[in-house]
Amino acid sequence: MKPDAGALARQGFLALVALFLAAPLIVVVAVSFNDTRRMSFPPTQVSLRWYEAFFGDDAWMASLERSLIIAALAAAVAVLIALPITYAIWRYQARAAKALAGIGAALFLIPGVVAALMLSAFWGVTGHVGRLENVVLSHAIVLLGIPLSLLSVGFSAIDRAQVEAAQTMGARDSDAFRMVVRPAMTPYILCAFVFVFVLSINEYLIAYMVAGFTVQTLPIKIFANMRQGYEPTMCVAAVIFMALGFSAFILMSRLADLPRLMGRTRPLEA
Amino acid sequence: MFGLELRDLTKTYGPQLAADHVSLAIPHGEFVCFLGPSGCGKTTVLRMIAGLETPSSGEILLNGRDITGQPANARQFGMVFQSLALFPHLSVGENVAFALKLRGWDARRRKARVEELLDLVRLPGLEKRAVSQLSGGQRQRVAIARALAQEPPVFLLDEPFSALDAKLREEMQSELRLLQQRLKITTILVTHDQREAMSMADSIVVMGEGRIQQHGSPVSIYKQPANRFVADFIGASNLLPVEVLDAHTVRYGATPLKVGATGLPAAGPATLAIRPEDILISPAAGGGCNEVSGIIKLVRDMGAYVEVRVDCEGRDILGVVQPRDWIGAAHGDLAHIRLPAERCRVLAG
Amino acid sequence: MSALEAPVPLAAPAETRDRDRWVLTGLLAAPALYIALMAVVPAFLMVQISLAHRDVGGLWSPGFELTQYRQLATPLFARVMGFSLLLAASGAAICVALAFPAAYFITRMRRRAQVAWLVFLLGSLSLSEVLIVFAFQVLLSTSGTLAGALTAVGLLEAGQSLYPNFAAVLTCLVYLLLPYVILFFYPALSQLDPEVEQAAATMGASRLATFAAVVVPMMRGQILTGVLLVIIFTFGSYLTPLVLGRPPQWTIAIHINNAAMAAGNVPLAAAYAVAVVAFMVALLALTRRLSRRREAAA
Repeated sequence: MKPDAGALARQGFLALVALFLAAPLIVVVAVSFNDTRRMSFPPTQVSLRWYEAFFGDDAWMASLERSLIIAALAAAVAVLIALPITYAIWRYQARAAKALAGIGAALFLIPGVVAALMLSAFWGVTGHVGRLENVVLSHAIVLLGIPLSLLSVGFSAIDRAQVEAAQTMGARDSDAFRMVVRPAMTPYILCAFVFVFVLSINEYLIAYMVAGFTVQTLPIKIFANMRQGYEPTMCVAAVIFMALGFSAFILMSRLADLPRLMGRTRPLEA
Repeated sequence: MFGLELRDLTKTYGPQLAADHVSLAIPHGEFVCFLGPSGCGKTTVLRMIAGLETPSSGEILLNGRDITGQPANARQFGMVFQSLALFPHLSVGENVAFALKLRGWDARRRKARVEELLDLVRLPGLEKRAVSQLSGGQRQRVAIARALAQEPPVFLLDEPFSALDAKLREEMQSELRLLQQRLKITTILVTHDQREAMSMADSIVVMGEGRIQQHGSPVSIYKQPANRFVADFIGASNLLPVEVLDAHTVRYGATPLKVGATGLPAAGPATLAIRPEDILISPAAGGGCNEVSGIIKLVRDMGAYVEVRVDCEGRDILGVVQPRDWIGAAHGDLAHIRLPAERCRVLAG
Repeated sequence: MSALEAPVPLAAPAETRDRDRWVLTGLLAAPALYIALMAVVPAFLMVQISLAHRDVGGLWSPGFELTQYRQLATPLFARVMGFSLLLAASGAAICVALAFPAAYFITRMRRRAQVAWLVFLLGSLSLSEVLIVFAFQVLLSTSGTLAGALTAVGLLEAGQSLYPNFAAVLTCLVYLLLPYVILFFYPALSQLDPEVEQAAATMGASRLATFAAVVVPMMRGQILTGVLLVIIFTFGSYLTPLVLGRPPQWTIAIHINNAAMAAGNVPLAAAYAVAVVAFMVALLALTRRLSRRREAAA
């Protein structure tokens, strides 16, 4: 393609968007390496002192660990709840399943503060306050929309002809599930897990309102940190999250067809 | 004066050679079919003509002017795509008038032209209809009308009828032919269906492996295929491995065959091509020359003709016989086949 | 949620139909219980609380009074809702205007570039809103690079801060949602038949004309849904307006949280929440009706 105004405009636009998206990431990474306590950008001197501070501080490490555990459990619960629902819709067109999916979608769409309020009232009324499980179960229900969406995309991408061919060769439902459905769904299940994990780790408001006084997740600690007076230590947490997130998605891109996971059905050659 | 000229057109995709030095001259108003199996490069060449792909090397000339560097929206050759590519958010009339709207025609002029075109493709009065409500054949016609609205110098079609059922396809083929003859517009149609090409085209370009294998009228391609590829692709052909003995004789198995055609390849292995309908089959030996015998493997009564397969020296020879000429022999019977000398063509390779 | 195709139903004998029913019950029992407990019950609870009697100190006692809802019929509430809607709508307009072309370009890239963008977009989601807001504070601060650059060019007076204000809140909100919206448009845009755009080119349309006259109209429905989704998500934004904006720019979510936590008036917070949800449902219903009417007229 010969270079023309159109191509330049397109590349310029994309470069600006990329820069816009990357700017806060760059800032956070830079501040984490800053030698001084001041939140200046660009950093004046590079040092690893905040990394040492973070990994040496029990409170920070504890909240990191807590966040990771909550995220892993919440992701597992969300996927385990969404899987039978989406399977029931795909296999049986079950109305009950569709209703459940609708509620899940609604929970995802309502403003976070409303969900937080609802759930904190719930836990308060049951008398089961300030516990880790609260955050896990609350995150799972609010983020249910993600695996519901991803898994339904995955199911709809399954070639029914394969299932039917297996049936004509004597496969029962369980065989078809094992031989056709499960291999096709594995990338979507993993992707849904990673997605919920990443969102749960970063979630602030619900975690705070549901158990924030006793269970201090990393975002809660960071926000408290912000209100009290800044410390670049919190940027170290952010860098860790970003490293985790990017690694997870890079791994996914190697193991699975990322464009297809994100909903692309037309084939994409190199 | 040639309407469209292709000179040494080549297209590579990385290591893949899609089109290999394709050169062609198409006179004004001719209906040309690019014919070949999938992957032969015909669609690549068509898209280069349209301006949708850039040639790796070579030129394209329109009326003597080099248009190789022009993008598709400057060339504005009317094109019907395989998927038809009608705009789903526009009505039939709006689809047809799309190019005209881009050119700034006012509403009245556009309306008149749309009416004219819809009459031409025999869909009068459907201007306001939604695309989703049309049948397959109707969508075809709308795509054709749309491509012709801008009165393009060249009309291109990429396997337009492949999605239609047989009857509709034949109907559209003859309609398109009539339309083209009426408008006298230079037309290039890409297809893998040789019957389609034979029935519509003024000339056929047979393509294989990115190269032009033969270019000529349908009859000449059928009767005188230039090489094995063309002989194999066009019509049914018997291709028998023979050995060239001298200027008029080849040997099939143990039998020498006289061949009337001139210009045999040099001595050595070659291929003898003969159409099934040119073969004479009878249960009794005629005693003449060019006769081989074998066991009948298969007899198929196709209604309009009878197909007979005879196993002869380890090869299947396919013959086609008129029903009234068929003597009713069956599987397992002995049959004698005569290959008339003047009907045999000997091809290299 | 995407519509799933129906399998071709075979005439099932009675035994398999019964068996299917058992399988379904087994499959959906746990999810139904979980959702009933964690979604339906809390929702009812919240409505109940909004009608309850407020006790001092964040508690409530059972009752049925409309005190809290009467509090909603104040100019303050209307103003806050109006502002939240304005913020959400402007954010949605800008976000979609950026995300749609970006997604369009991305779906047309070669595989390697496309995957790289997808990884970049997905990875950028791993930065918490807290940190994003913080990063914007740094970027927009008086001693920051951006302020310095703008002052040098003369667009900004020395010493003037780029936040807190409406623009800062808006920018940050757009930032937060941009990756989601691009990923939202990605499936539909990657479905687009390239031959449709090529047809437009053969009829004389430039890339820009094709985009405006063919792609955008074809994707009308998706774009509208995208705008709606952004409005819904930004309506409930909490952290961003709190940190990057002044009280006039505080959204309804902040007021809900204040009522519940700071003021200790949970019934009021619940009433706010119910009102917000009702408002959003009404918004959804209205847009549904409008789009249906437009489809009928077309």
